[in-house]
Amino acid sequence: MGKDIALKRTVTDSARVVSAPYKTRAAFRALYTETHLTVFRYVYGLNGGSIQDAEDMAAETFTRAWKSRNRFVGDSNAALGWLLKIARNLVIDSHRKHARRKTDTGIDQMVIIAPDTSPEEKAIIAEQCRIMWRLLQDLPDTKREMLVLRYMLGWRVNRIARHFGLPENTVSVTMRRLLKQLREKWPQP
Amino acid sequence: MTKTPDEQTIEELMGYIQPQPTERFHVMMEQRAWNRPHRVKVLWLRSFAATMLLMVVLAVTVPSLCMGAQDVLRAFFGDTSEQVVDGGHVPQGRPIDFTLIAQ
Repeated sequence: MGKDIALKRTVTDSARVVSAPYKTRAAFRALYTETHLTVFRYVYGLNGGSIQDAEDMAAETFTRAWKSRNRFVGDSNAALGWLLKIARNLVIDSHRKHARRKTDTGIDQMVIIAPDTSPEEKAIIAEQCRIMWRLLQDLPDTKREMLVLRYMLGWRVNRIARHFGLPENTVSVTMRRLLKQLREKWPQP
Repeated sequence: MTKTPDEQTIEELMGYIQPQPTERFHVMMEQRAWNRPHRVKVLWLRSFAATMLLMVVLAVTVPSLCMGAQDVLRAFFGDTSEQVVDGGHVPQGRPIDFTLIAQ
């Protein structure tokens, strides 16, 4: 009996859908504070252009989300997915418009290396990051997105799989292949 | 040119890229709608105050404007009314009584 009640409660909780939870300014501001860095990094990684382009697109993402906030239904996890979907559409539209992706030449400023690293090592890491960033430009949007979510945002494979609606194994195998592909395309010294 | 890194190093390299938005972004976002709740209230208050002021101004000026308009009308039609009213004088501010015309 007690088990049935507990099960019923779990089902009811999971079925509870929050309608327009970011309707108010305060709620939307909290969402912005919590997610703006993730959205910005996602846009920067997916777009590959300058920091200003990424900032403009991240700003536009939140503006569009604000305008359509009354139609959004779901919790905070769903909210991040909703924001990333808006951002993704913006990036893809921008790629279509410009026909060719722009590569950020200021990538050196985005590389965060531990302060105790030697200057020689720092220079090698910075050079390798530049090469890798160029190689990432040639990947299709979806594959690039997987790498961005995994390594720049630090998402686990199961979360990425849920985001794409794919089995975990497929995501895992795809990422292994992508890393191998990047290694093969690496310019020889 | 550096040597080709292995796959684990490539993973690590991607982790090194941690972009941060600039001050420009934060300034831009501060001006967005969800960050200025007071502005709407201020606009409402301003429009309410402007409406009240307009009503007071109209309440003060409309009667005197009406009087002025009556004077202008009287200047044009004053002679006619004197003929009809048999030399009578229509006091200022009193409306023209059209029943007198019928008499």
